[in-house]
Amino acid sequence: MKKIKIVAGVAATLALALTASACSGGTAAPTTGTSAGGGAATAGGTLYVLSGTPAEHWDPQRTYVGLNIEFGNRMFSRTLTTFAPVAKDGESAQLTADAATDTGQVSSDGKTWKFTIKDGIKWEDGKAVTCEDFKYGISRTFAVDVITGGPNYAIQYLDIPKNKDGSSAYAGPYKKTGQDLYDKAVTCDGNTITFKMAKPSGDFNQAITMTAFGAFRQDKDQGDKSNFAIFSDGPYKLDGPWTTSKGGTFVRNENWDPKTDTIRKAYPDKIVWDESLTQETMYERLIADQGDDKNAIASDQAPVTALANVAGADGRYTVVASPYTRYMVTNFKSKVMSNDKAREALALATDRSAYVAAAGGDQIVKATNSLINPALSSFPNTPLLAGDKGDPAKAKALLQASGLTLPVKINVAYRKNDTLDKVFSGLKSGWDAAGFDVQLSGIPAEQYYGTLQSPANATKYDAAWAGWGADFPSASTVIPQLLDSRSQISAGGPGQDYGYFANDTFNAEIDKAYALTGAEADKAWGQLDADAVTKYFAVIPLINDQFVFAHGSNVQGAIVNTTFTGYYDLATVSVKH
Amino acid sequence: MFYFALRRLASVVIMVFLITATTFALFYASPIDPARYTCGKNCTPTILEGNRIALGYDQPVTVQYARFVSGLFVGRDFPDNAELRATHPEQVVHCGAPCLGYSTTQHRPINDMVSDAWPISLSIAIGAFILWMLMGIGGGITAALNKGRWPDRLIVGSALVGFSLPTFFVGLVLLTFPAIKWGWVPIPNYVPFFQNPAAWAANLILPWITLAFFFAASYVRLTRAYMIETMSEDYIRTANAKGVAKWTVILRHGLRSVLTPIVTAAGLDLGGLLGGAIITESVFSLHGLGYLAVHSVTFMDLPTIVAMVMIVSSLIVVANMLVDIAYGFIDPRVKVA
Amino acid sequence: MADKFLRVNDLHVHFPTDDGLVKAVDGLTFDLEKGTTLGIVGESGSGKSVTSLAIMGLHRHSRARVTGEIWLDDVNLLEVSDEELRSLRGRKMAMIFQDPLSAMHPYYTVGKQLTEAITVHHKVSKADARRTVVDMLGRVGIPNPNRRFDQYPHEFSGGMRQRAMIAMALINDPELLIADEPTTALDVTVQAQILDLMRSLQDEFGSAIIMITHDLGVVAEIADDVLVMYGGKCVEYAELDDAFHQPDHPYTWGLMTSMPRLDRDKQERLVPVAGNPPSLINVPPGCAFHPRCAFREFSPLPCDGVVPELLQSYPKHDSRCHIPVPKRAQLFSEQIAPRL
Repeated sequence: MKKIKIVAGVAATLALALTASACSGGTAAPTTGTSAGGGAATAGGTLYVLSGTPAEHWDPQRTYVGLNIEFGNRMFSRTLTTFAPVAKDGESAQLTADAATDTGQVSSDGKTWKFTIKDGIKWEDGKAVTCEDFKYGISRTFAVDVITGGPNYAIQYLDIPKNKDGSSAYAGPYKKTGQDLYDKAVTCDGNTITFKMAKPSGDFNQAITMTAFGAFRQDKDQGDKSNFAIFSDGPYKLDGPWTTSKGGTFVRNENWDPKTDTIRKAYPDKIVWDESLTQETMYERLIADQGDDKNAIASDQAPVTALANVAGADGRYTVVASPYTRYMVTNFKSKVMSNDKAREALALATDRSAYVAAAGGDQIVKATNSLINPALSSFPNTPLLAGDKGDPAKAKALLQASGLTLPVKINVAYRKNDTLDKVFSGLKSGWDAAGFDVQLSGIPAEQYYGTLQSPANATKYDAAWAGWGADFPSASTVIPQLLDSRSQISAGGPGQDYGYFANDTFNAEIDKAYALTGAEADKAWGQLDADAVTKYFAVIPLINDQFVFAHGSNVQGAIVNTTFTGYYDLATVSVKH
Repeated sequence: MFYFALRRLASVVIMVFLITATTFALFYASPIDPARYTCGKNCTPTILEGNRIALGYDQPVTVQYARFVSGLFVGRDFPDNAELRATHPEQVVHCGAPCLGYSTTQHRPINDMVSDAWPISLSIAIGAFILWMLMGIGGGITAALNKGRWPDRLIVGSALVGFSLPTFFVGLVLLTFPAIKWGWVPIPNYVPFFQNPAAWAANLILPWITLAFFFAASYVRLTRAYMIETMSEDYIRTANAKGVAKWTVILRHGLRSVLTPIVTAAGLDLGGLLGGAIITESVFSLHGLGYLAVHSVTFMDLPTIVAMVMIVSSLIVVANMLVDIAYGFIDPRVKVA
Repeated sequence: MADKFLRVNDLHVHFPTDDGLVKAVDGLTFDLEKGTTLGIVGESGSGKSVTSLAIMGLHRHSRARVTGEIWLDDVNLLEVSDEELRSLRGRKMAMIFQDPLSAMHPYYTVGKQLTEAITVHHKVSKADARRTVVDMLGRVGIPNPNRRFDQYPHEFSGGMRQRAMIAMALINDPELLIADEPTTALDVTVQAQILDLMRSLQDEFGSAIIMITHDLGVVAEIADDVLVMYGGKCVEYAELDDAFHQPDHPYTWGLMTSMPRLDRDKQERLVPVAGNPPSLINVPPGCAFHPRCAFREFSPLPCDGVVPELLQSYPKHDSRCHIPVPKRAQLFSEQIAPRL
């Protein structure tokens, strides 16, 4: 039994390696602890998933939270392509075909993508999953007044005109306004689905790994009521109701054919999702490893309070880089920061070691000098300008040469909480030593981004703290979202380009990168990141958040897939019993 | 008595409406934009506006309030769109009277959420109530009868400790040790009473103790003080002079007088607790009304906030009214006007 | 000589307090026959109530230190067990208190409270008890007793309440009734009725009564013997006539002259007893009354140094004073009697 499984596994990996499009890349090696659980997998048993964050949506078009995308995709919402499970925490995952026969065919101009849907994929009621189902599912994103909360990449990528106010001319399948425009952009020919892009998009086949591009059965659509009414085309289906803040139980979907699915092993017979807990309680239980908790995995990352005790879960926890990067934005509209040397000086004097220390050490955050996080293949690994601590002396020299009068008064905004209070008092010391006179403005969380994005505050802050995480492992979800002035800056505010960075050369390079694929694309995005940091000093990356995950002692195959959302990959998880 | 109750009931209703109207007003006066919570990343002003419409916050405040009030009496549809009712009836949720609303953040009718939550809060409140009354009154009597001696000091001292330790601390300690680490009791997870009374109690024993520890403290002191005062009353002397047995004097003559103010206070405390014990429910992950209230505030879920405010304030106001009426029965000297 | 039903022998009741030892009763001796009434007179704080509570044993389990002997028939009340004492209370000896409103439990009906007085000592059915209570309420002069049975104390008027209290005290036919200022809180007319009632019940039941009061008028109405207390001690003890016509102690004289009387000339001013009641912690040395006594000069012994003994001045008439008896008689007839 065991032998066959191992051989099958090897064969599958080889097959993946041959069919996957080249997507080499950097690794994000885990730092400490081990995970995965040893031994061969056993089929059957009940897996418990503990969660401290109640799912807001299971509706595939409305799911935006990484953990819900990951678990949703692995349990009940297949996508055309996905990222394959990995063998070790933090390993780079390959883009692979899931519901489609391959990872897609793109035209030479990058504006048309074609996918063929596999035969034999069935919904939980036995009906086949068709091209129309995918077309209908994707169209729901356009009904922005009902299908809220999900990513809107469909609106961004597809070739459908926009109205004057920026909204799409297609209003979704309920209102049907502009339906003909959608029908032109997305067409079905038998089992082949064709997408027309608004502009060259080399990474579209990565975007569609999000469940927002999953199939949806029109006859099952109840609008807002469909939010937790899970209808599955994957290995598991919902048994009974889903209760928010409590959870639900998933059982096998008998109509799922493992022959059509190279991704999901679907070892457990049953998955019980418990989201009634707090993150603290959840981790206390996982560490204590009693009773049913032996068969449990965490969906959320550990809260800082649990990190002190996580050593008690020896062999059952892991520390990996999260998708999130925290960075400083320099405001090009402020008088001081429009001065090139001032920006460079600020970057030079940034003491990242203070951040790491104040946040609680290496297990929690790691210093970085790139916006793109280490899990992505386009990670440029830009070296720190002046080491962990920065170089205030050099910075001061630069500031003196800048023409500004020292000390240079600047107003730095950050999102107020206990940790960041400590972090910024540390950062302030470094900057003050370089000749700045830093006034810190801690803004309450609920108002933070709203404040930065309000046009009334355009010149108020000289620099601000911000955070971002890639939505899917293409840097096109990072660089343009944060630095492309054309899509971000408007009369209504800077969007996510909080520093009002607007550079035509940079924007032209973005367009070029969009059109590329594979290793070339990676190189181009990496260069853009490095330029933003070391040439324009538009951003000063600070740290990457680290995530810590734990599982019970009977669980095997729990591996964190940092490429695909950064949570445990359910595809390979099994329970000993 | 009947007219008194009727008049009080009318004032209860008026008060509840005033409270809900104020809640609506306060919600809109806040600087936080509720639509942002459903927006996620990549939030553009058009998406934000779409969300606002989906949430139903684009209408003026007065219109929204009027809809809410009418829903209480005749029920409502969500979304309230005649066109949608005709074309896509499966997308419309009908909520019968009294309709507390629809939570666009949790995508459920609030009546469903409340009917899931209130048995939990009720179970917690009743168990804790019985426990604290026994502990409080028993402790208070013992302390009063042993005034000045070590049992008195011990009981009053414990009461002080119970009162000073915050419930979240006691709760966390109880959760961590007896439940998670030692496994003496199951980790609290609500089991309905009618399903399995033994399991129901075993799962709730820790929250009961957490709350009782805190509340009993004030009842110990209250009972003790009233008991000491009552035992020096003339009618106690008379009872003794009649030759009544010692414990009969203490319980039938002494405690009976003490119960009047105690029951009043207990009625109010119970009324408030029925609206949910926020901290205890959070610590033990029991999703009662308190948890629902906190959750709705955290995510700026206006319909649920208003419903929760209405429920909690109604419970308190009604409890007040009931206690006032009960007083007329407990104390024959009081004429309930 | 009739049976000495109650004999109090050298009774001391001391209360230790933070300020010192309060000697509320400091050596009291008296006795009582069945069917007679003893009136105990004195100011507030003279120790009258404390004495009555001591007899009833209501100082037990309090801070008081009670020494001496109290013989009720052949039982020493200070030595019996709590159980025994409880069975005596309300059955063989009963007490009526000053304020009938506060003396009755506000939350139970009058009928219930009276019923309790019976059922604590006798096993009877509810119906029987009710009958007895209603009967008793009728006998103390409460109209409509059947309806009144189910009413609460606050629904009774002051006089009726006191009648109910008397009913409650007498319902088990006690041999000793102690009445502690029973009429002080009542109007004069009601007062007369109550005293009348008590006298007729005494005739009927043959109980001994101790009437504690500060009102000489009440004493005159009802008592057979008079005991005047001052500063925790007995200062004069005599039969009623003797006490009123030949009072033998300067304090008693003071009480008499300070009593308003109809038959006195209105032009004459009342002469109150000068000064204040003594502190029972720091009792004045020697005679407790000496700071207020107008006749100290007539004493051969230092009144502030030597404590006078309780001595017989006339047959069946004791008093406690240093002034020689004949001198006192002279002082009385010359200075006091004309003013009465």
